[in-house]
Amino acid sequence: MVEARILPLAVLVLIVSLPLATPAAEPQTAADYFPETVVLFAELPDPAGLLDLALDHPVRHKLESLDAVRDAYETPQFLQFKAVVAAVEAQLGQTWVKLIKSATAGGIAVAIDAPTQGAAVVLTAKDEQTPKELIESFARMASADASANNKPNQIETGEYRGLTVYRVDQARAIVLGKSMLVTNKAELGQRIVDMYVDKAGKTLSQSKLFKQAQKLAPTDATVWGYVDIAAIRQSGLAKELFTGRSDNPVLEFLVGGILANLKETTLATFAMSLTEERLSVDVAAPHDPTWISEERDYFFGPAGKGSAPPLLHVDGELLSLATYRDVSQMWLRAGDLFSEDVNDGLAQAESNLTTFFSGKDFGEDILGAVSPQIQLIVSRQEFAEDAPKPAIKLPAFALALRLKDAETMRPELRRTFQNLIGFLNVIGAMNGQPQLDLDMDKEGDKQLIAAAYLPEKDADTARLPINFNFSPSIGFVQDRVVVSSTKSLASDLLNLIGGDTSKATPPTNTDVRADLAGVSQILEDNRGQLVAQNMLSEGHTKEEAEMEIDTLLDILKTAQTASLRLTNQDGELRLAVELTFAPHDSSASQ
Amino acid sequence: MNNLKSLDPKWAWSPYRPTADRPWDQPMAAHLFRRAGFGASLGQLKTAVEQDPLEVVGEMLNPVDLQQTTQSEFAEAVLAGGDPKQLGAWWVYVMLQTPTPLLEKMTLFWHSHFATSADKVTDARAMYAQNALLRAHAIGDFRPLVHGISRDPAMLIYLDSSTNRKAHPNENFARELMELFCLGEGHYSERDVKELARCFTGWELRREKFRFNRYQHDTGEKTVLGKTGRFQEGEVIDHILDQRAAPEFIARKLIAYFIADEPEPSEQLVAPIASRLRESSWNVGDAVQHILQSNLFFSPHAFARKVRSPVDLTIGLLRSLEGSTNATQLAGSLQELGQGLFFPPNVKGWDGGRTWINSSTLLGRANVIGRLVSDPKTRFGGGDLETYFGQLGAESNEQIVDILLSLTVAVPVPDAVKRQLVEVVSRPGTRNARIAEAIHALGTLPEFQIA
Repeated sequence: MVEARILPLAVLVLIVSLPLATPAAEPQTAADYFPETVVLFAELPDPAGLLDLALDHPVRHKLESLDAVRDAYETPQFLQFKAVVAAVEAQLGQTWVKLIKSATAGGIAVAIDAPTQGAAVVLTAKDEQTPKELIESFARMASADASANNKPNQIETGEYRGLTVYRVDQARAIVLGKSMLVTNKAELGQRIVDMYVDKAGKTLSQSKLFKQAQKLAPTDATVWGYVDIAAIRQSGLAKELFTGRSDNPVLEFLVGGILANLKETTLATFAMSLTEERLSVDVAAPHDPTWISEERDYFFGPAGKGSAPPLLHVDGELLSLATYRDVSQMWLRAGDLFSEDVNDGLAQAESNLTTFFSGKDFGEDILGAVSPQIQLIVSRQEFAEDAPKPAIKLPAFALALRLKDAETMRPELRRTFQNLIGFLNVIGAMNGQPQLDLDMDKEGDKQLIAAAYLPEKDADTARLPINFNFSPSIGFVQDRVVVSSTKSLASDLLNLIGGDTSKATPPTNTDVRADLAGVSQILEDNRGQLVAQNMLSEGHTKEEAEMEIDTLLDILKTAQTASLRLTNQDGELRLAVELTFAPHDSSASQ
Repeated sequence: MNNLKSLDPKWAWSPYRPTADRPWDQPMAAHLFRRAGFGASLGQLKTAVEQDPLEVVGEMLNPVDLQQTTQSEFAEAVLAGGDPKQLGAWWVYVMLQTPTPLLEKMTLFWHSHFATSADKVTDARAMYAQNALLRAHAIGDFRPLVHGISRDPAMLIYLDSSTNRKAHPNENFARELMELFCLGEGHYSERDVKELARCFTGWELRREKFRFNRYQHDTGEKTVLGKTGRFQEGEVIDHILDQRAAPEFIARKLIAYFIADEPEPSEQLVAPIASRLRESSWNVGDAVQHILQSNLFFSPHAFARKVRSPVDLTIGLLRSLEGSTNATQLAGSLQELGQGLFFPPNVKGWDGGRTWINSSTLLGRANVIGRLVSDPKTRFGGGDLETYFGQLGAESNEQIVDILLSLTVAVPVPDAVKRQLVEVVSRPGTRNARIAEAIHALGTLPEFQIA
């Protein structure tokens, strides 16, 4: 079992002094230190650069300008922490920033080894003197602290291969030239030291799998890492992840293809890049379409060639998603994908939906009538000053699909939509809910059937029930169908896709883009409700609740967009996630 | 023995004047604040004993208008979700924060008197509207309150009176109006119920709003409680309220609410309060003031003579220690203990008194207290218990227990029990956790269950 003690160990290693043994030739890369049996490796090549970026990052400045953060800096706990840091800095004769920069000038690497189940960290300094000086300083402080508190010094020393080993509990630390090794397993430490001293043994950097991983990972990453999936799979760890089954229809729809890949792939790489403008994470794994069994054809398409349509964009957009999923095929193959219990539930749902769709087979005739290219969009609703508006304002959402046989399906869907509105009105009337009024617009080849709630004569039109967020609509243009929660969004989409001739976008399987500034705006629209809920759930006064909600909104405003893209190309499956930050207004933090 | 039957009504209802035997001191002020509200902090008690007791009662009967505005804005935000259960949380929050606790205490009284449950009504806005109606008249005039309740959508839904046709008069509301709302049992006949039901024909709901359907109203003559007529609009309600039994019925309930759960007060004791209601044209505030300022209220006949309802128990504890908490969770706890706000058990409301306590609820009450004080979201004076008692000047564990008991318990606890509480506060661990444990232990004591 790997013990998660790396951080405390990193501190402990600085509390010991170290007479250095004669060093062997310095390894060229961090991976040269570790044996090829390592199953997880992560490297931060330039900690100093990351530290500089983090300390001067616009998001940090923005957060520090928040009242809540300023208040947190004034709490007794934080002031006490600052005093401790200042005392340590005074004894070391340098700031903590300088300390970290000099101790890690050559990078930080972390590894987990399979045979020993140990973890190791290698910190590489700019020269051999730096770790030694730092360690001596910390050792003096640790010794003085132990004496002052009348406690025994818990640091034990030993020797291995002519190098001094420092031990506290299970933690061991050794200086290897410019680097400092900290590990929680003696066996792993011995292997690394043996390889370092003997200049022999197969290192991770010589591993074929590792070299393959290096080719997959971006070269300019702030942090990058590698996972030996095959070894982890064989070891029996996280068994559920590698069974290739989810037994959850929603999870299957979202990541079924990725689960299938994990069942077969050899490795995965991950890379994170941080700049002033964005934070991106990239995960990649080798991929072979033949690994995907027939029942998962719905995810990547036949021979893995299925690809998502382009993203749709409208005003006030909060989220746009485009994906390739043959939902009909997934539904019909449920027997192979899910357990008996899940299939029983789906059979029940199919029976009800078939009735609802006038006897049409839901999986075959209804889902099978649309192509696998799916577009979803969520947008903020605008309510005119004098227009009826709900007390809680929800975003609008719509699904845009392509019909395989538009002439046949258009009247079917229109009729089903009318039935649905009638059904909702009957249920609504039984529960005293407002009624939907059905309307139809036709312009050229565009047809829009929309239902709207009508407020009662004496209703407070500024605080209408939540129903008034919806004007369920269905629209048709050419071979496209739009199903929307609001008439306005449906109309916008019909205009947008009416003349759209763009095709699928290989190699993208799924593309998602979220406008986080818009999400923040939606929350702002509902600030009153959020404040009230905060008062009830936290027991806060109105002023306290307003401050907490406003801080949350301010934090959200530091982000601008988020995106996710899953691609399947050239023998690799790649998931790229990116967060962009809002431009920093330097005057705001003055 | 607490014998209200043998009391001299003149002495009982005369204004309380502090004497050497019955001084106006902190325990006496705490008694007033527990009954006329949900308890008071040490600071409030100290301020109160500097004033004249009658003046303190007078101030309690003067609600602040500004508070009403704030409450309704807050309520609108809560109502936007449409969940009646959230209304319970809203009311808990209001009870904890209100500067006019007597107003909330009386609104709670009328909520049990005109019991209506969101379990059946389900419409949060209708339930809130009824609550607002109760609050608007809580310490005002009873007559418009009864007129309002007879047209209140939540009440009409609850009593299945949303349609009332002349061919089939609905007797539900008519029966409850006389039996539960205005007169009490034994003051009307079955014939009165049938005739009264005819008066309310045509009173119905349309889309959750009251509507008078003149085509379904029985315009014929009716004889109700000895009076014959066609009774236009709400005339018959005024006729019921003019009955001698009506003010006696309400006065008896008010005396039980503020003085003692049992025994029943004698007719002679009830009569002066009933007279005040009658003479003041049903001014409830006047009757309440008379009760709260009386010798009887500040006598042993009233002291520690009521079993704390779950609301009194929890809100009382928090208000005494200037506490705030997760109102949603506390509303759920009240439901567990049998006093879910907006969810009374039936049309008779909560029986109260000894029915609050049984072997199961006793344990439940202590557990709720334990959960409440150990919840990280519960704050006392904006901070933790240790800091709070420090601010109150409690330096030793004994002082902490002394202050705690003086604020939360109506009768002295035995010395042995007090020593045990001090021992709990003295145990190893953080002082904050130990004080919370002591309050939890306090919640199991019989003395803590009465007020």
